[in-house]
Amino acid sequence: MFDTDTRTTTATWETELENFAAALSAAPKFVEFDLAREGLESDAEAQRMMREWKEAQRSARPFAGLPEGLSGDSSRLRATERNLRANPMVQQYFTAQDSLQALLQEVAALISQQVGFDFARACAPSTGCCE
Amino acid sequence: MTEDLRQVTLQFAEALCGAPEVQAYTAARLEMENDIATQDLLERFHCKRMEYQRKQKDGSLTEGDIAALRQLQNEMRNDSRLATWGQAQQTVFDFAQGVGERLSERLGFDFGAFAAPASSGCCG
Repeated sequence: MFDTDTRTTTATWETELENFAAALSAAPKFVEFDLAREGLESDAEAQRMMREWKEAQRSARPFAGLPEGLSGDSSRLRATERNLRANPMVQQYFTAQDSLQALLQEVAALISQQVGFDFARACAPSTGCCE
Repeated sequence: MTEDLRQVTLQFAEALCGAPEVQAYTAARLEMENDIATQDLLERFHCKRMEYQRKQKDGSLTEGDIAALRQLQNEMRNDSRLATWGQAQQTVFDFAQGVGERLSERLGFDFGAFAAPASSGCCG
């Protein structure tokens, strides 16, 4: 009896997850983000700048929190970030990402209210998000 | 958020509430919140920890303060309602992480990293 109930419940949330994911995928903010991501991925110059920025981030990480004079590659990191943010394709991507993030935070807050715990934090990866 | 998306989100949340992991967590949380002895223990621990931090700052901390805080920590470790709640919380977080992974697969990006408020802001 318990097993049957458990299977039924599991099927229910899995079905609702499909409906939820489909509704999110159809939201204009999601579609705009998808287009911006595709645009970014197909832009060779933007891709090169992203690689440079990520590499500068990795190089600067061991020096994080140290005083300016000891912080090694932090000036390179700032320069690559400036270049990156000046690229129109990247700007479009970050704007779309911010917009989608705001929607997802709203959605996650609604779920958290219902389930009684911070849903977004509970399903976020515990490791860093930059890798 | 559109009304349609809001409704679908609420249906998904309601279905999650029916999952055994969420039901067990909710029951454990309510038991903990409604138990006078556990709430009293948490309140005493909270007050003692504040006092500990204050005394640590002004240099008046004594061996007795440290022992009293340890005693309360031990009482918390031995509190069955807190233990049940802690286990249920870990279980529901594991469950939520699985749900998040499935959502991420379906959406093509990391749902949890996107939906969690940006406190660390490590991605720019």
